[in-house]
Amino acid sequence: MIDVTLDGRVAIVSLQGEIDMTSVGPVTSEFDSRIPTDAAGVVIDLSEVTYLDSAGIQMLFDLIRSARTSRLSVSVLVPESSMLNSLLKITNVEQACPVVSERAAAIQAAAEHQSY
Amino acid sequence: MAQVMAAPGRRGLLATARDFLPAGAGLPESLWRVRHAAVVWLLVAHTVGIPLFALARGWDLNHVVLESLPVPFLTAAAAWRALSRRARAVAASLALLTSSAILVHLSGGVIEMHFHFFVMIGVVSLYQDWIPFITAVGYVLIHHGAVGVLDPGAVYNHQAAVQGPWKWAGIHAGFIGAASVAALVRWRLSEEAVLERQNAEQRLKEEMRIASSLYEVGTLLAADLDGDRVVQAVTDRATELTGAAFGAFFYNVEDVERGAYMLYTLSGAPVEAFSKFDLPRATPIFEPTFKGEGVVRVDDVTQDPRYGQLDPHRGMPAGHLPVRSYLAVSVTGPDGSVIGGLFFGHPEPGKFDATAERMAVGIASHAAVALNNVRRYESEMQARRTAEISADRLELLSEASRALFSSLEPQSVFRAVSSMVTQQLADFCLIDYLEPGQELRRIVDGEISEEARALDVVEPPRPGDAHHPVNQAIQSRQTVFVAAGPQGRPPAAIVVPMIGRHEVLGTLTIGVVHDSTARVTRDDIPVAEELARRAALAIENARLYARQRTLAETLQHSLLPESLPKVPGVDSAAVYAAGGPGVEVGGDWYDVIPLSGGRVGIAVGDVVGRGERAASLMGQLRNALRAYAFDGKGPSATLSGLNTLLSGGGAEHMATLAYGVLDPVAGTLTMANAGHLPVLRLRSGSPPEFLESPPGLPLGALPSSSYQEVAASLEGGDVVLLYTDGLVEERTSSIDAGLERLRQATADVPSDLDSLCQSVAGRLTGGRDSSDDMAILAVRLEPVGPVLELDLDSDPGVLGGMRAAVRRWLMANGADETEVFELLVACGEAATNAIRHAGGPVERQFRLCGEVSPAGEVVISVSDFGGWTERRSEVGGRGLPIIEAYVDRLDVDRRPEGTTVRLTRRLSNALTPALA
Repeated sequence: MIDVTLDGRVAIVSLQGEIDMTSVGPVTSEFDSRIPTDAAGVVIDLSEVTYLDSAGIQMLFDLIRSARTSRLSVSVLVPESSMLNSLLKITNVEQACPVVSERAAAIQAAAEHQSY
Repeated sequence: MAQVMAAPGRRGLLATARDFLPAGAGLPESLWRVRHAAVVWLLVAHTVGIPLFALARGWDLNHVVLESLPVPFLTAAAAWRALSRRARAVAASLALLTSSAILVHLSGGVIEMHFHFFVMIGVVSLYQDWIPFITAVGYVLIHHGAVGVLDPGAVYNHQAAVQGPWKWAGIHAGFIGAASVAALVRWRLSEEAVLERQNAEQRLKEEMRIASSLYEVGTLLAADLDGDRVVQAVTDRATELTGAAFGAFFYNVEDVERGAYMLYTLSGAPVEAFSKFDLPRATPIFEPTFKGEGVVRVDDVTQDPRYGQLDPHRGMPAGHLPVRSYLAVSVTGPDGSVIGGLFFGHPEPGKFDATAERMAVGIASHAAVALNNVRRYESEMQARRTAEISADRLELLSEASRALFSSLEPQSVFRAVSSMVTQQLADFCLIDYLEPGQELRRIVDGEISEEARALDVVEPPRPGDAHHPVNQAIQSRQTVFVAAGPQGRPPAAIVVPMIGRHEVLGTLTIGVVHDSTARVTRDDIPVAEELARRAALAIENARLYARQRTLAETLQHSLLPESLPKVPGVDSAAVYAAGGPGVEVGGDWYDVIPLSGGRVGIAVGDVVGRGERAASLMGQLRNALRAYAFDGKGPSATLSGLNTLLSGGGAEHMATLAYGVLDPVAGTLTMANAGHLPVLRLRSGSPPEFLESPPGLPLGALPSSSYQEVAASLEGGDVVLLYTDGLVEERTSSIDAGLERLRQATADVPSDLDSLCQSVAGRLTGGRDSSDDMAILAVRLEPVGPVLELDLDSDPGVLGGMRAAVRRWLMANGADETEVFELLVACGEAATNAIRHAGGPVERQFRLCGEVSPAGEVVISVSDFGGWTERRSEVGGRGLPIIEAYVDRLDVDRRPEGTTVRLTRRLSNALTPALA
């Protein structure tokens, strides 16, 4: 459900499958425990997510806030072709953190962007 | 003496000193009397001797009288029986020492006269009592000191002593002390001798007690030829004589009809205390007894290395009577064969000593002899019974036995008896039987003619009617012959009680109506009795079997899923039947597991072996499979994981398993197979087809087996059938033939899955007594129609399955990928809301319906049945804008009985309903 890889000091957290009210709990607790303590930023990668609803959007905001509290900068990675783009737009996720469609750009955003 | 032998160790000096002193336990009454009498006679001698000595020494008469008075006075006290033994001994002691003092005094302190003191101390020690002894020693000290000071010449006759009386009192006391020690040693030795004699007497008494108890048991048993009473008497007496809290006698029984089996009696505990346990197994602690390898006596069985070795209980099963002290002896027949074993227990440790063991061994040998007598007697009686029965009747009986014991169902046992009677013996047959806890029931076979009604036995018995022949036979346990004709002529009937091991089970009535058909006469009573006896055995057998079988099935069912989970778009049903003739639990199981994304895991497996071990392994496997499946592992990885889990568990830890993941959206079933039979796919319009997948090794066979996955396509309406070998295996034919029969049997089956399972089970196992357990699991991928209707539990767990069903439906109706996603999110919001706001505990459901209008609009409605309040009816804050963005129209219809949210969206490329 959640996969964490490292690129320098940026942790890339990949979520998978369908995310609804039954899966937000496990994802949130794993997210908190699996980010390395020396990480500077986090990319939340939604490339493999096939379903996301308002409970998932709420979770996304929670993850972003929790990362911020730990002084991590955050970006969300969603490919151009993903269905999720419209949903993220409706819910204004981009006002909370950068929503990027390229992996390299997402990593860079997570490494640099500190000002939200 | 144990006390002396014991090492002093760290005990106090006082305690050590006490070990070397006499116990002062006092003498036995008889011995004390003899010694006291001797002492009194000695005092009488002194009473006479002292005045004579005084006169001889030339004392004046006044002095003589004065000196002579104390001793007879004290002697009289010593002889006075009203006083206690100790008081008399003290009086005697004082008298003896006073004699010495007077003699010394009369002699003018002559040193030789002091010897008298020493002799007297010795005499006092004869009492073997500390009080008179200490009185004597104290007397010498005080007398020497006091009188030596007041009148030294009365005690001492030399200058040194007269001048230093206390010093010389000390010297004298020293010698007296030495004399006392010598007396103490003698006293002590005497005590030991007495004790040894007492021990010997005790041992002798114990021997006599054992011998007489055993003799008593022996005569009791030898006189009894009733086997049940003998074993109960053995158990009761042995439990009593060994001092056990409870005892049991397990013994083997051989029976012509039933073969060998084991029975037991109990003492000191109610039968219910053991009824729920199996018979003892060949565990290390029991085995020596059942093999006749000697006595097992353990002070604390829970500390014994042989204890607690075997699964599943590792010791006493829960609820067993508490046993710490344990004693078991074999009961071995005259030919050396083990008849059974006597077992004794006590909740406290160290209760059984060597005597208890000897008792048990002795009773066991008596029991063996008595049981052997019983057996000889019984076989003789059997021989005598059959001797009275003519050859053709004997044939009838043996035929009856075959018929009786070929069925394990009480009703068919009754039918077998009655049809045999009416066909070969008589005109009619009545069987009145008692079901446990119920009134008599009657089975009638043959024709009851008007003439037969003259017999009062034909009218069914009323409870409490003591004159009815049936009740008479049951009450008296005796055969009743009734006749309505003259001189015992027909119509006549023999009413025989069917006597089981513990109770009367009912009566068998054999009746004849006409002389011409009179094949039954009084002479046939032995035949009827023998028939009734065998019927009773067969019925008890059948009842026992039925009871144990029900038990086994209950256990098995408790390990299987209570109900199969409801997954939208996937229907499932299962049957399970325990096999005969064994009553042990089998290891067949099945499971249906809802997975993420609306997928469903389906499994059927079979654990090698039977019994508790198989059942517990099955439980473990089921849990592990669920864990792997929830973790998102595919069939191949799941089977590998289970294989690793089972490997190393030995040959008894093997299982076959077919596991597949059904994906309703993709329309696939991905299977992996660990040595299990192939899955059968039923598709309407084409013949049933086995979905062949490479059969891997059974789980637990090799440590690192790999399992290949094979995906088969499923269409809406397809049924997959998973099953265990009990369904297709028959002793007389090959597995392939069985599979072919299954294929043919499923070519035409009901559409309802429950009926389908029952029908398949009936067609394949009907008419034969299935020897193995059997499980069938049928799973259908529901077809997608133009209209979607889902009734769902108000539980977030249903959302994944709901989305899968909606996705399939939308795709079938021409929705593109974006439309599917957006409508799914909109549906999800509406459903989440319905779940969150659903009404009271009764209506914990909501409904989702979908249809496509002729104009190509998808309309999905989500209805709940909760009484929403205005405030709660708001679709959640972020949910509403999402729905509004993804549908063309949103209608919310609030009513007191519930709320319906209707979503409408035009599809760019809808398939018209006519085509769907």
